[in-house]
Amino acid sequence: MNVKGQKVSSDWHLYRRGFGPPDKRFLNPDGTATSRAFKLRDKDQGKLSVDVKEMTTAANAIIDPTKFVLFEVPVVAVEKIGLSTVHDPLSVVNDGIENDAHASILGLDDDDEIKPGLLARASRRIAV
Amino acid sequence: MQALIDSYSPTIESSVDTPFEKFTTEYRLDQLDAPFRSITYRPSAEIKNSINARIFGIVDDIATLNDNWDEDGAIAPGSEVIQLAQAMVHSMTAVGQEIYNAAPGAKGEIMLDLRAGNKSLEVIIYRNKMKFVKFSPSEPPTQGSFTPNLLLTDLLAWLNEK
Repeated sequence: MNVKGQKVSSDWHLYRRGFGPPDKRFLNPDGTATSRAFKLRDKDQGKLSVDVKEMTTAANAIIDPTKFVLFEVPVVAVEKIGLSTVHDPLSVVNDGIENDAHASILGLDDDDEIKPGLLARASRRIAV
Repeated sequence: MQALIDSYSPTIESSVDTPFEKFTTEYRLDQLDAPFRSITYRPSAEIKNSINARIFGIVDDIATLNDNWDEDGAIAPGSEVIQLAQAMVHSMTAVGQEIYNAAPGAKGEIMLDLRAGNKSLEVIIYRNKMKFVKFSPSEPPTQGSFTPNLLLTDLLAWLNEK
């Protein structure tokens, strides 16, 4: 069990889910992520939602491979651009879903267009 | 691509018979907002079959999105954002600048990604603002807003500079 707010190990990796049904062209032509996949939205309240790879499986993280795609980012790459990653487990009681592998990338700014682009460029597509 | 930049002329204009006649690469993008709100942009077949035909198609697809298009509350781009994106693609096509990709964002924005060599220039069109981000392996990334003093030609010159 991870304590909420505890730093995710720099040696670990993160999964970020993006919307990418095969009939839509929301990814780059080479299948990599665009910066939009790592951009905060209002409901995120400054926390970019990810799963810790070492605590889950790609199949669990992607939820529905017919609609979503999965990108992997090393935690060290997140830290290298000045962001941090903390464990942020979800519970049925508080969040309506149980996900002990859930984590949050902190430090993104709504007006910042650079870091989402850097995260996208540091990520790689995971085949599920 | 460098040759295209070298041959830039501020008098290059669209051949499309629309209000875009005056859309030149020297237009300051912040001036585009108002005129583009009230028109319907229909690119000619020639333009749509151009180097950016795929991007025109993607923007057309984006125009069909509804709110919650990503099943996570994403806002669909409004008509003014679509119009501006089409205008940008048109303008880039007119000067021979290929666009690598276009993608919608959760806040109703459209991102155009222009690439040359290892450089990338992202133009992000929101409902009420336009921003750019420059990525290059040889310099720190920078972002900015389109202002009256910013010429798109300057950004393209940076992108295509070797």
